[in-house]
Amino acid sequence: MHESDPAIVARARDGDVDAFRVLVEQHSRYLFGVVIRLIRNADEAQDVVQDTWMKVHAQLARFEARSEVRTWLTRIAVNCAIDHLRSAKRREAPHDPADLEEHATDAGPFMAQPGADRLVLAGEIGARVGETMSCLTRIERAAFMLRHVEGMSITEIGEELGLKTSATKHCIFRAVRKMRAALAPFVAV
Amino acid sequence: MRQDQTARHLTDEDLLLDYYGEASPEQRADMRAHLETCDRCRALDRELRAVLALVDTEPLPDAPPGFEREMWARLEPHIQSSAVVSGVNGTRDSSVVSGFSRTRPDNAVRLKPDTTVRPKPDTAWRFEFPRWALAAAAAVLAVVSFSLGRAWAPAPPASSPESIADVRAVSERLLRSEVEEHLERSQRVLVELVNADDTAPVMLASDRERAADLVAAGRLYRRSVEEIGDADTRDLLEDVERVLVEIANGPDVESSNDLSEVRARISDQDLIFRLRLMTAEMRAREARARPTW
Repeated sequence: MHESDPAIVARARDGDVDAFRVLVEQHSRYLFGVVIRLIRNADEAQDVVQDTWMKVHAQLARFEARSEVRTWLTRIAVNCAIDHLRSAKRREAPHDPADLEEHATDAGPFMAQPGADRLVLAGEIGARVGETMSCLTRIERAAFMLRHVEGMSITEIGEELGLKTSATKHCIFRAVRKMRAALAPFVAV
Repeated sequence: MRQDQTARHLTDEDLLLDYYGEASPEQRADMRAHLETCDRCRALDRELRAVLALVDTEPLPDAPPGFEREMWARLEPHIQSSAVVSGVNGTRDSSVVSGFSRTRPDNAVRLKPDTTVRPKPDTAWRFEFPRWALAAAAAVLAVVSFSLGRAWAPAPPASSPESIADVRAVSERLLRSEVEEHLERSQRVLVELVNADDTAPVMLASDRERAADLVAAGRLYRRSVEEIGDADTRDLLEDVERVLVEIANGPDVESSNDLSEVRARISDQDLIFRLRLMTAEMRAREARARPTW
């Protein structure tokens, strides 16, 4: 019979290491997906997922049975990712100009493309989105992703990031403006 | 009062708050009422939603095969030892767990990467665009194109003539507005550099960070303006970028002598003058294009 997540958490809280292993195996891939959007580096994302599990293990007693396990895990993972972003001293070094040319596109607006080329263009758009995300400041990226992907409210994001609501809004607006500027050629008719 | 609010055009911020469900019920009702009657704002709303839909198409890497097992292998020794130490989990602070090294002041426990246990992940998978992801992206794009096609279909003669057919122009205005701001920020950095006191160190880490931010954003804008055929702005962005890269890659503190080459380049290429000219032209163009409501 399938055991529920809260029941597994309860066993882990009681010292059942095997139950904790089940949680790790069931949710690590999902948590990686949450973290990679914020961290944008696969190696670091793996470390953050590891941090997340250590924090989960330390906080098992705080889990409330009526909560959704995945929501609880997501919240801890987001906090760990934010901690990681805050503590990251290293800045992304500017790329070599040649990097850009690699991805340069001579494709016109998406609407003008024949169907056969759409996969290629979709890849270019995906790459452009990724580049734009990387161009956002860490705080803009975190605020935007928490709003856009994780669905957190602006107030909640402000609390998580230690920002006033107006500053949080500004971060999200800035991120979206950059996105619109970067993606405008792809949505122009 | 309420009539005033529904009469004014909506801002990007209004539309974004509405998109994310952050507007109050009253604001939302006002916006709905306005969108019902305003082709321009409705087209902008569609464009914003299209862009945000494109954001969702970004193919992100999945965790590598066997990630769950590897994660457990990394965690197990520490979980096992903490279970032995504490007996019952969750009753003690994580800081008492032996074998953990703490790198942050909060409660988070971070394991040092153990390269002897954890082989370096194969980075080849990192930013691959899986075929399925491209297909999914193409599907979303098809939906987007459909909805945009509907939104931007030629309006009946009774509709506002300024609106639907000009969405591309609106997108370009948005881009130019961003580029103008970027050029002004770049200009400030260059002016500060040129005017720095010759007797004091002039280049600090914060300057390098600003320059690095501008390099990253500038490359993005350069490609976008190229795609809309604006060669002059592209060339200026490229020239400015070269200088900013030098600044970004310089040491934290540099004497003015070390920067003489950079200053010479700024001067030789008339970069500051060209930046002022370009931003002035952009402002003038924006003023001409701005609706007169």
